[in-house]
Amino acid sequence: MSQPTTLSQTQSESPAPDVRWIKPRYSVSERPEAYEIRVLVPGATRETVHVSLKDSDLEVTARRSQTVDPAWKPLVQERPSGDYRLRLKLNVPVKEEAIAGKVDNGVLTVHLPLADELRPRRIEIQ
Amino acid sequence: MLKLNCLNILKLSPYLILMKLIRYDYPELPLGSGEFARWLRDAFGDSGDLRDPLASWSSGPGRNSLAIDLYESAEAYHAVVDLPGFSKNQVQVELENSVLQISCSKGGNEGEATERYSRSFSVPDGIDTAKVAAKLEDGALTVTLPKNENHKPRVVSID
Repeated sequence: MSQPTTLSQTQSESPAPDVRWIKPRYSVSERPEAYEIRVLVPGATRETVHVSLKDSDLEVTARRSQTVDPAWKPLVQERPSGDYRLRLKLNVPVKEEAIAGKVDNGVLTVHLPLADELRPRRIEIQ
Repeated sequence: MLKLNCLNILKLSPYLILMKLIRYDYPELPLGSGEFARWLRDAFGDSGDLRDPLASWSSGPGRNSLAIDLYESAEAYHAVVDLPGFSKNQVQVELENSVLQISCSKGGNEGEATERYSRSFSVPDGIDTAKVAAKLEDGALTVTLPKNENHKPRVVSID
């Protein structure tokens, strides 16, 4: 996902009634100029991941792209089933147009650059 | 002789009573790791952390087991394991004495913590071990364990 962003403000609010959401594991790291969120979405690809920001609500949804063959008979199922959904409330203003994400080996990384007024500035000493 | 025995019991009885009063601390069940915990929590409807794909990965020693799905088709068994963030060369699949072990590790450079997880299970009978194949795609590993010819379902023609 090298495109600038997959922001889709119109992500539908009404998923199919049988959708079972799982909250994916995630971690947030702080950089001087940005926050970076890593979300574990095994099985998902850039086509099946959606990141949206509405006001200060960040929502990540993802779906496994390859599901198992329905003809296979399940013997043991320990992995959770369902689509991933993570909702985070941002308490800092971010540069919406510069949000970027990429999916790699089932890990989504969302880069949230801080709004200009929050960036550290170096002041030149005369 | 009998008298002596009775006396001994009487002497001991305070201790016996005391023993009963002291609560025995059962060793704690290793909740949070392994299938048993998963089964237990599933059975009691706790849809908490264990529903998370990597809940058992989260913290501490003993919690580095992997959740596994096992399926059967006409030709093969299929094991599916989530390994987000791992690349092909960080994952190892071994089959020895009909035990399949899936392990992965990464990190460990420059103060970075090593992440290491593994899981092994006995493969069903009748596997063609030479044809076992594994595929890692988008952070999910699928191991295909093809059945031997004589373990596949056979259509018997009726004369």
